[in-house]
Amino acid sequence: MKNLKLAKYNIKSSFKPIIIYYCILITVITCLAILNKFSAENNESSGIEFSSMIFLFVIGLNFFKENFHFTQANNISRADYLKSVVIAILPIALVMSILDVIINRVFNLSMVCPTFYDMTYAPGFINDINKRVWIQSNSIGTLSRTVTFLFASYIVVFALGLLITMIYYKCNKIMRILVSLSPIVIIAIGGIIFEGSSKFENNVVDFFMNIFGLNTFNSYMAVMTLICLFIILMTFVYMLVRKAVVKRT
Amino acid sequence: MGTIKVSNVSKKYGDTFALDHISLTIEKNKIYGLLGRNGAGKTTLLNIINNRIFADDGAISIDDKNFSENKKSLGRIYFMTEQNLYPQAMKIKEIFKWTKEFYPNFDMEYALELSKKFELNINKKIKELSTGYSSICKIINTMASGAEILMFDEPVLGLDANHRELFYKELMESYIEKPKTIILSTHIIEEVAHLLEKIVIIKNGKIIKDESVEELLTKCYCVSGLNKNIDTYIKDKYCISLDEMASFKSAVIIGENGHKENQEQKKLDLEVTKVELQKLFIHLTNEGGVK
Amino acid sequence: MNLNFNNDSPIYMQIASAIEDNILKGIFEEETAIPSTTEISVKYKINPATVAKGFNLLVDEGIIYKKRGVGMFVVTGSKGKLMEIRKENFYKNYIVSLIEEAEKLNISSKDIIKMIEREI
Repeated sequence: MKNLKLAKYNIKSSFKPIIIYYCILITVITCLAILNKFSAENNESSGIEFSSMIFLFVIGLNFFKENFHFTQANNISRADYLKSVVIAILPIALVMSILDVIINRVFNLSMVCPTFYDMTYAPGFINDINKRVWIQSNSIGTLSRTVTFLFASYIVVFALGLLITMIYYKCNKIMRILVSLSPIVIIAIGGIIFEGSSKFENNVVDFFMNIFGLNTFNSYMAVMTLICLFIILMTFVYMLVRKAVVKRT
Repeated sequence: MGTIKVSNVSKKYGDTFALDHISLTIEKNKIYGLLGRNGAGKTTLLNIINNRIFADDGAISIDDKNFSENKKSLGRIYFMTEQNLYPQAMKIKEIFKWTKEFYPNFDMEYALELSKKFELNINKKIKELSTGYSSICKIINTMASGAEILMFDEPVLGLDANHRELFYKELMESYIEKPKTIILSTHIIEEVAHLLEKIVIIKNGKIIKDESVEELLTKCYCVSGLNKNIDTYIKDKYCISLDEMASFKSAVIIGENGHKENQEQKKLDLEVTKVELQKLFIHLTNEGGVK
Repeated sequence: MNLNFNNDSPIYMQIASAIEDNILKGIFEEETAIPSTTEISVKYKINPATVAKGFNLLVDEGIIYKKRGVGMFVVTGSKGKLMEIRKENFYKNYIVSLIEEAEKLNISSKDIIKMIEREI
């Protein structure tokens, strides 16, 4: 099956960066752990997964050009290319989420380090260190929910990077500037609208709270939302890939 | 099986037609020469056939099955482009391995054999290759691919004379051992003239010739003699080029060169010679011509 | 077999002529094999279809025949046959143009004969 072979290629091409990333990550974490031993205070850390998300976002940003060119060289259809991208990212994201949870649990032996999941969905988690009664749980439930939550976040972040790179690839200079400015514009417009109508603002906030399961502490809600988001993003990617052309150098 | 049909394909860049309603049938297991000046539209046509870029109009089919994004059809063709589509850091032997993944009939032994003959070091990375060796790497990849249809876009770019000769010989051997459709798009016309069975000439996005080399060369001849005699002779003939030197003119004619014409040539005391393919090509594709 | 291609006639005819020449010279003996399509095609970088056409021309004239699985062989008596054909064409190809050229140069028939006797 061409898709599987191409997925194998995609994974192989990301192999080196991932290994390097984890070497750096583990080194940094180990240093932090050692430094903590010498520190008198009760230090706390958090959000190691964010670096993985940034890493995957960057992978997404770089995932298009070389791999697409390779696809074209072998006369593989664009639809197959897209399928292979999806088939490739799923195991990568899964392995990384499991690895990140393991790293986190090991790191927690040295200092307290809640995951983003813990901070958002663990009942009893309060931001103030002094008032907090939360202890990180290592139950199968918590671990599996953390992994699924991370997995879903990772694939979305990757898809976002890929989509952005595809938009840039397709656009000329002017469009690129517009696209780069659009997040700021959206936030600014959102701010203005919110100023005008607090009811609207409440509705929007409620909506996001619901779909991400924030008010119910239900991470499965978030996972489903993220998976839908992934599908939507990849659909946009496909629409762009369908017309993608190797540019004359 | 294996016939490619290009039907009324057009491609515009801005206001110019890179390809202007092109229709063409590429018959199975023949060696085609795709000729044209720089910018005539050869690469555009090959790119469209291989779904690398999209036509504005028209369709491509193989065995009457419509092409675009038809995965199986695309996999029957191996297309060697001028562009470098492989990661710069990849080693040549890795490229062969990956080509084998996507072209199951890839012949690794043959690829290695050719690499030896061309003195290509397969442990080198793409970025380390000179222009010539970059072409050689792609040529070997194409020939060993095992695909039924091979398309070469400027295959001998940067190749020295010895390597060019080696390429043509290997191509012939490969073609004889296992017949396949081969399209050579090249500027080095005279070297391949005898290799080709059919020729397609593109000029300004239009096909001006699509016939067998033999037909083309048989129907073409050059007459030379005194100015007034030539003028008389070419009055009712299709003349594509006229050269003057002192009181002598020579004209390239496309048409029958039969008994009647021979009589006329004798009467007007004209000398007749055959025309080489490259010369014919130049005459046909020069801007402006004489009717 | 030495083939120097020119543009005077189609390649397949030149191939046929070259083979005929070699048969006449005795290089390709009767009932022996001539070079295969592959050998000629690869050595001279000619499309095999063209070579095959040249071969077919000779097969049609009964000069060579195909031995299945082995190759093309020279027919017995081809040499003689070719000589006859060439003798017939000798008049057309050489004598007629000789007279024409002589006329151009104002060489009389007597002088022509003297020249011939000089050579023989």
